[in-house]
Parts: sequence; structure tokens; C-alpha cells
Amino acid sequence: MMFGSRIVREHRKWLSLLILILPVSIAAQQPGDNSQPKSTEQRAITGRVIGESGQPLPGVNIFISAVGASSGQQTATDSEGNFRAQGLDPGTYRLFANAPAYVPETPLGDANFPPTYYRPGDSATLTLIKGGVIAGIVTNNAGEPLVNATVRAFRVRDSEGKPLRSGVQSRERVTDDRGYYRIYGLQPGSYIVSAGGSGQGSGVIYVYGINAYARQAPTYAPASTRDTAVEIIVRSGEQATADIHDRGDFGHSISGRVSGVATQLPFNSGVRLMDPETHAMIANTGATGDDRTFQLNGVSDGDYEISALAGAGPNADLAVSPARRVSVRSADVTGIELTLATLGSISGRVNIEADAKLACGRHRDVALRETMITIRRDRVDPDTKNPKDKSVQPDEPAPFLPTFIDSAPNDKGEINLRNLYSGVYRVETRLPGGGWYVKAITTGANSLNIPRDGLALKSSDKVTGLNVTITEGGARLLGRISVAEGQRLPPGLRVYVVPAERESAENVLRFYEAPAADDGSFGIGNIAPGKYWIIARPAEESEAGKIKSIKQDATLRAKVLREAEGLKKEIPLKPCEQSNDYDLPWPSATRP
Amino acid sequence: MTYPTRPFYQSLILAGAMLACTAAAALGQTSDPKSRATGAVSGRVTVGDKPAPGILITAGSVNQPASAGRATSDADGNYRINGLPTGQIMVMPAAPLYILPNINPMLGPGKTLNLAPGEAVDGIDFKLTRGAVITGRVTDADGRPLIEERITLLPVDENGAPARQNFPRFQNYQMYQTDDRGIYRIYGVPAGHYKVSVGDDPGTNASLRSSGYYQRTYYPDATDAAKAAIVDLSEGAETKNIDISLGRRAQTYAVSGRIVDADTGKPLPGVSFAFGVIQKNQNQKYIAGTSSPGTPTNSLGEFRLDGVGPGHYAVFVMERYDFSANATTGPSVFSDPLTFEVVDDDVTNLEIKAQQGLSLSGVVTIDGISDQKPLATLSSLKLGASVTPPSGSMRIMPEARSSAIAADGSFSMTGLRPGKVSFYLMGPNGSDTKGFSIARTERGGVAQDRGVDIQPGEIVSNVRIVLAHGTGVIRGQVKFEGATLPSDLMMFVGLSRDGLGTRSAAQPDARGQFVIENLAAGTYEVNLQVVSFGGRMPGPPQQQRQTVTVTDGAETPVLFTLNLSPKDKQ
Repeated sequence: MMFGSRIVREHRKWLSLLILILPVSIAAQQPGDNSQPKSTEQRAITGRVIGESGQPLPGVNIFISAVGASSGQQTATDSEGNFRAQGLDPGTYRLFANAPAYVPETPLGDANFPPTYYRPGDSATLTLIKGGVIAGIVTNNAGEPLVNATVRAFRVRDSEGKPLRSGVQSRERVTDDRGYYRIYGLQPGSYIVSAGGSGQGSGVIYVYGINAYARQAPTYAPASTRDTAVEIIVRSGEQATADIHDRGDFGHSISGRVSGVATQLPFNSGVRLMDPETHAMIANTGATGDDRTFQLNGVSDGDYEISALAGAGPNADLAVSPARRVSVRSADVTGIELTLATLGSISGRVNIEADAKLACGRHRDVALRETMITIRRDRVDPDTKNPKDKSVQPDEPAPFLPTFIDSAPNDKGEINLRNLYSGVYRVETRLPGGGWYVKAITTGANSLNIPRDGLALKSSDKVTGLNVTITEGGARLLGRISVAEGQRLPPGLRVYVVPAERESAENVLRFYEAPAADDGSFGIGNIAPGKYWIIARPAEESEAGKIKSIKQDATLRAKVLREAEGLKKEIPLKPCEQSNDYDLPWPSATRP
Repeated sequence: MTYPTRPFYQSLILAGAMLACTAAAALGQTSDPKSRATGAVSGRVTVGDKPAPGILITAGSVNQPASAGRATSDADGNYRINGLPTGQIMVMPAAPLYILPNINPMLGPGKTLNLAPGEAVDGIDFKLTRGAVITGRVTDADGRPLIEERITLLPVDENGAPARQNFPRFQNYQMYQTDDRGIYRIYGVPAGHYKVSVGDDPGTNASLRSSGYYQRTYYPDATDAAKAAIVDLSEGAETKNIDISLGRRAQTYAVSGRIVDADTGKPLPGVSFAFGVIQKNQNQKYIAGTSSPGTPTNSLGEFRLDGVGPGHYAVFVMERYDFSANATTGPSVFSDPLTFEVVDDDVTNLEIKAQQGLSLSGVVTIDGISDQKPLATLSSLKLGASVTPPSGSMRIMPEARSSAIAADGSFSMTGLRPGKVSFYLMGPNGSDTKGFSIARTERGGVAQDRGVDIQPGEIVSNVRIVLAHGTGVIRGQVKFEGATLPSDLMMFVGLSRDGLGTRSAAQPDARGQFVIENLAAGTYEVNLQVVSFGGRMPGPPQQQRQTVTVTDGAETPVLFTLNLSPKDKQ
């Protein structure tokens, strides 16, 4: 399933910036009525779908999915490109636009493009662009066409040529009676294409359900193995040609058995073979029988990651094995043991502390339903592992597991996040609107500092008692960094608001940041009442080129706190305060 | 299509979507791939009168046709697949460009064999003919290509009347769809006359098409099938430029309403629902092709179906699993189907009155078992139940409930609607019930015929399902007289015990052989039904019965003789 769209929310400039960069921040808006959204308008998300030159796209299917729900609702754009999803309960939603041969302008599943969320009452503009096409002929050594053979494309680089850590595989297509295949609706970028092999194992694309080439190793375009596959550049609306000469290579097999926790029906254990670079799935098979043995055939020489997956279903947890590196070198690989362990879970509750005297929280009556909790697994820095020994990576997560999970509390306030691989998880909160702030994130009895250190989850851990307390009275700060006449602001400035009270120095929830727009304007919402220091300074980037987060980077946090203390630009914020014209002079008066 | 009245498999056939599963279940039941895989099948593949080399032949089940083995025909067209398991397998050529002559509508395109342990069967030959190719382009009223529209090929006779041709191109749905240029190309089509069309017939299935649909249009530009051109496809030839231009996209409509408590009138949030088209089969109305949009009623008890085409439908409560961990689930209720018609506008303010689902519980026991080993496998079985509503009610298909069987044998089911509840066992892999079968059903100690009646408001807690476990085998042979078995004949073997309900038990293979395993000792009635799908044997199905006595650990033979002489010559 491919859904998705470029999403531009209709807000003022700084707000859209905020949302793009800080997906967990909240669009603080005009104080308004807090009544239960009963009118049709307040129970709808409206919007339109446009093409790359802004033209409306009619007949586009829109899928509306509530965070935390397993299903969604669908509608479509009318002749003017407009849509309207009605009868929505309060909550947080994602929108996906889907039209054949089109793709979202911002690719789904790309870490650089975090999802955009909507609430009933919001309006959205989604942009679809014409996808690219790869087409060609697949022939064998005798020059005859391969008929009904699977062909698929893996996106290995984005349209700027940057390698993708988690590659996306196209839909599988099959060759026709002339050996011709055509893969359309491709996100612009660089692809490698392969033909033959067992593929995803879905029978529905084969005549009589039989994949005649299932036992062969796939051949990559033009006549290559994975190592020598040629990258094909795909541009929006254009067609690239990639003929493939099948090598007729039967490859080798990888076999072994799955051990560990017993799997729960109806889902048996499956074993997946993945490309170690893109993490795209190359082949999969079942581990059947009482002994749970498996054999993957048609694997050509190369390096792979292999892991097992089992279980799932109503009230059943998924079990996975860590990913193992496997190298195939001119021989079958046997004796691979994949040990399944049940994934962990985190459960707890969201407490909404409304204050009738303050009553500044937006969407008060539906605050619980419009709160979203996201947990995000910290990426393990590859440098801390032993990079030289690729064969031993004992605890690499199975790469098909998501690195973050969104959830919405149910009507009792409970949250339940399942199927989590071991790791350190950050808890992020999307608040119901302005006028709220996150007071505390704790786990029951122990004295862990969750906001600072994250929540460490070991394999199969069931963490209960996560408590997220959201309190009314959040303040908002809108302002501008001002420069002296004739001077210009340096690019990439960020505004940091850090606690002035000593006892809050380790309370990461009291650290806030926002980027400054080109004109110096900035906005920070959902600030806990209290005394703060404020400072503007250039953003710091990690080695991977990502802007460091003050909530996550302890070194940065200490440094900014020290600088701000030295600057002594104090800003007291009262509950519900809305400071709209804060002036922050640049350059700062003193530099530490 | 007409079907004979009330054979035991009727419900299976009515639920057309279940055909494949049923056939697979029947095929899967006796095969045991891990042991005794010493069987073999061999034969010859020809095209015309010439040997066909390089053709892939597979052996397996209908759902996994290549799971048991594969071989490629040699220069003389000969093939042999070794290492085949005992039990039922299907053998077929996997030759996408060719047509197989023997296409059995239920068992799939190959030949089915019940292999005895270590048996080698020769002479399983296949005569292939080269298929035709048809290609063309589909555009909209403005000449723009239409992407992912589905092509339908309707086999007809010279006069354009629908022909009885079995043409199941099982799967490869991609070649029936237009690509991003609006082009389609379908290969491996049996030579013959066809009407070619694109588009939807609204009201024939319960699908949601929010973005509208194109009215079915026949080549070259007819919306009336009678005015469609007849396209002739010939063996091995390509027919080009079968282009179809569709009209404007037709509108679909939204259907909305509420689900309320039938007693209090209060809206019910979190209730799942589904809708289906109303169809008639002889004198019974039923709801078929049901689908659920997935989202339950909202906090105001409202439901909404966006994208319904004109037609007669019914919407009703339908429980479903919610895989999300934190789902807010509504009460366990049921409703009668609420019918509605979509003409040319949205349908609003429907009100479905839901009632508390009925519950049924009891205990599963095992009859006279001295060997305790089979008991351990009981926990891997599930008890399924299907409810037949009282006569006169509209039937929703498929509808079923299931329950796990606890260590103490207890089970319970909720959310049932009133009617006759009949039970069946489900194994971990479908129909393999580890040798268990339901011997009888009791309610309050009284044996029930064909199920337990459950009335509105009733809580039934005293059901006893008595299982039998056995190792008896019935090995059957159907002898054909007067002709070889035509490919359009279906044979079913049913089994009943003690005069209670007949269950579908086996399907005879291409040689007329069948095996029913894991039977408890006792007296059974074996029932052979023969139905013609192709019209060569008109009239009601032939039915034959035999009574046999099965003992544990032994094979009981049974022989049926089937007279296939043409009726007009008798």
C-alpha cells in the first residue's frame, strides 16, 4: 500500500516551520471556544489535493487513519480536487492521498519527512506528483523472453543522490508474454531493479499462482548480481529503460531453524532475507513443521541480513529474532539458528490536569483524545559497535520494525504500545493545543528521569505504569530576534528557552527550542509556567547533519544552559501567558 | 447459474468466495508432506501432436500448487516428479502461454490424485494448446489513459450469447489491468469468441468507490452487452487495438446513519458494521459480497459508507477483530440487516437497531478415549459455529464465530444472533483436526439434530460437544462406466454418522479415488454427489449412498459405480 502526500498546513509561516521541524510541538492558536465539537464542521477534516504545478487533482482517494486505530475511513476528491472526511471523532489523524501512477511529493517512510497530523476542524493541502517509470525486457541466455517473472525496483537513493538507510521496494510487477515489464508510480530517486527469484511470495500475480522462477536467484539490471547492479535514475513523469538479461543463476540456499518462543496461530514463523544496505526484503519463507526448519533458495553470492518473525494477531505479541548477518560465497549456508523472543511493550496512562480557574487549554473537553504519545527508539550509533566484524552483530534490531510508534490514549486514558524491540525509547507528546504543557513523564515507583534518559527496554520487557501528566496553563512565546540597523541575522539561528530555577536544571521537560525564520520571528508554545532564561544561538548539527535537540543532547543542554545563565536574559512566564511581541536582540550582549 | 436444491455442499457453493478455501481444505486434509514422501507422478506433455519440451510441471495443493514438487519436461515432452507425499495432490503444467484442456472449476486447472504411500502414477499426460493474446488501450471521454482499470473477457458463442467455458486464469490480476499508459495485454487466453469490457456494474458487490466509477463499457463503445462487438481470438495469435473509450466517471454516494440500542434507542459507539448486496437465490434472499469499511461507529454511534454505487444493499452489525492494542471496543451486539437502495443521492439517517448478542457456552468432551495422547492436541483446535437464521430471515454470509477450547474442555461464544447454531472443528492449519471429529452435540443432555437453536435473549450454557477420535480410514473408488470422467463434473463425498448432519469429507481424484482418514470407529453413510458444471449431464445431481463400518487402525473400502453414458442414449 502506498499512500502519502506532501502536506502544507494552512498556518502562519512560523507555525508551519514549527510543525515541520518539531512535529511534537503544538500549534498554539487564538483562544477560542472550548466546546465539544459537535457541529459537522468540527467533526470534519477538509482539504484539497493538487499536482506539482498547483492544479487540482480530481478522483484521488483519500485515506483517513486515526492514530492508534487499526483501520481508517476513505473518501475522494471531487472534480475541483476538494475532499471532506466527515463524522470524525476527536483525535489525531493522518491523511494519505492515493492515485495510480502518482506519488506523494514527500516520500512516506523517509526519516527526513516526519508525518503530519491533523485534527477534526483542520484543513489540509496534499501534493501528489507524477511518479517515474522503469520499463524493459527480461530475456534469458537464449534471448527468449521470461514470461510471468517477477520484477521489482528498490529505491536506494533519494532524488538528491543521498543513500537511503531503509530502502523502499516498489510493487512487484510481472513480465508479459514478450518479457516486457513496466513499473510505474515510482518516487523519484535512484533504483536497482531485479528480475526472477522468489520475491515477496504472493501468488496473486502469477498465472495459476506458480512462480516458475522461484528457485532462481534474482538477476539485477543489466545482467548483474547485487554488488554490480547498475543504479537507474528515475525522475518524476519520466521513463527509464532497464533491460535485464537473466543469468539463470540458481544461487545457493540458506537454511536453518527457528527457535525460541513458540509461535501463536494463525501466524506461523516467517524468515526474511534483507539487503543489508537498504533493508529491503529480498526473499522470505515460512519455518514450517514442528521443528520449524526453513530453507531460502535462490540466494546469489553476497551479504545479507536474516531474521525471523512470528505471532501477532488479536491480543498476541509479535516475536522476532535479532537480525543476523549472512554471507553467501559459492556455497550453501546451513545451520542458521534464529531465536525468537517476544517483543516488549510499554503501557501506562495519560493524565489530563484541567484547571477550571485557568481554562486556557484548547480543546479542553476532548483534550485526552487529542493527545498523542509517540515513542521513538534511539538510533544505536554504529561507531559504538565493532564496525570491523560484520559477522557478529548479536543485538541488531530486526530492520523491518518501526523506529517509532504513535499512539492515542483510549477513553480511559490508557496507552498501550506493543511490539517494541529492545532499546532506549524517547517519549514524545503531541498536546491537544495551546494552553497545555507536559508536567511530568514518569514510570511508577522508580526514580528514573525518563525525559532525560529515555526509557530503556530490554527484550520481552513489559513496562507498565508509564505516566504522562499534561497540565493546563501552558504559556506561549511569540517574538522576533532583532538586529541593529544595517546588520543581518546569521542563518540557522535557534531560540532556546531554558529553566532559570536551579532545581529544574535536570528537568528536560523545561527545555524548549524553536528555529528562527529568516526575518527572525520565532514561536514556542506549551511552556510550563516558571522562570526561564532565553537565548538565541546558531544551531548545532550532529555528524549525520541533523540539528541537535536540546531535549536529547546532554552536552548541548549543559552548554546552552551555561551560556544562557551568563547572558542573564530572564523571562518569567505565568500560567496561560501569551507573550506575542517578545524582542530578543542580536547579537547577544555577552558571549561566554 | 442454477444449482440443485439442498445438497450438503450448497452453502459452500453459494458463498462463492469460499470455493478456493474449501477446495484447498479438501486437498490439504490427507497430505502429510514431512513423512512418506516417496510417491511419484510421471507423464507426457504435448502441444498439438508434438512433444512439448521445457514445460514446468508442478505438484501441490490448489493454494500452493508447487509446494510438493516440480519438474521440467524433457526433449520428448516427458516429465517425472519424485518425492511426493502420500495423500491428495494436484499436478499441473505451469505454462502461462498455454491452455490446459482439463479445467476443473473447483479443484483447479490440474489433475488431482490421491497417492497411496510410495505410489508411482504414470500416464498423467497433458495436451496443451497455445493461448491467444489480446491487447488494447483504455481511455476516458477526453482521450486520457485510464490507469488500473480492469478488463473483463466474457466468453460467448458465435451469436454473442454467454458461452459455458471454464476460463479460470487463476490470478495474475496484473495483466487484466491497464498500466499507466492505459494499455492492457492479456496472454494465454483460450481461442474463441469474447466480449471485452471495462468498468463496474454498480450494485453487484459491496465495494466502496469514493472516487466514482466507470459504467461497464464493451468494445468498442457499448454499455449494453447486447450491442458489444464479438472479438475472435485464435490460437497462438495476437489481436491488437481492442481499444475501449469510457464515458464520464459516474458518481457514487454516501450512506450514513446510526446504530442504536434496540431497547433504549441510545446510540452505540464502537460497533463494527458491514454492508452487502442483496441477492436472490431461487426463493431465498441473501446478502452476499459483504465488506466492512473497518471503522466502527463513532462516539455518536454514527456510521458512514462513502462511495456506494446505485443498487440494493443491506447494512448490519458485524463484529470484527481489531488488531490495535488500544482499541476502544463497543458492546457485543447483533442486528438484522437494514436494507436500503441507492439511486441518485446520498442516503442519510439510517438507523440500525442492535440487540445484545447472544451467548453460548459449554464443554467439549471426548468419547471413549483410552489413549490419552490425542488429548494434548485438543488445545490446538478451535470450535467454530455458524448460525442459520430462522427461515424467512435474510441470511448473511459468511458469518461465523469461534472459541478456543480451554484445558478443561470449556468453551464460550458471544455475539451470536438467533437461529440454529451448528458447530465444526478447526485445526491449527485449517481442516486438519488431528483426527478429531464431532460425534454429537447435546444440550442439557439431549442430543441435538444439526445444531442448537438459540432464541432472542437466550443464554445457552449447557451445550456438550462430544468429539470422537479415530484412526480408521475409508478408501474409496468411483468407477466410471460409459465414458471417462468429463472435466466439468464435480464429485463430492459426504459422510454422516448416526443419521446426523452430513459433512463434506473428500473429493475423488482424476482416477476416481478418495481417502477419508482419522475416522472414529463406527457406522457411517458415505454419500457421493455428482454435479455437472458444464451442462453435459443436465438434470439433478446424481446421488449414491453406501453404509460402511469403520474400525480403528484399518482401511474400509467402498466402491461406487457411476454411469456416464449420455442420457439420450439410455
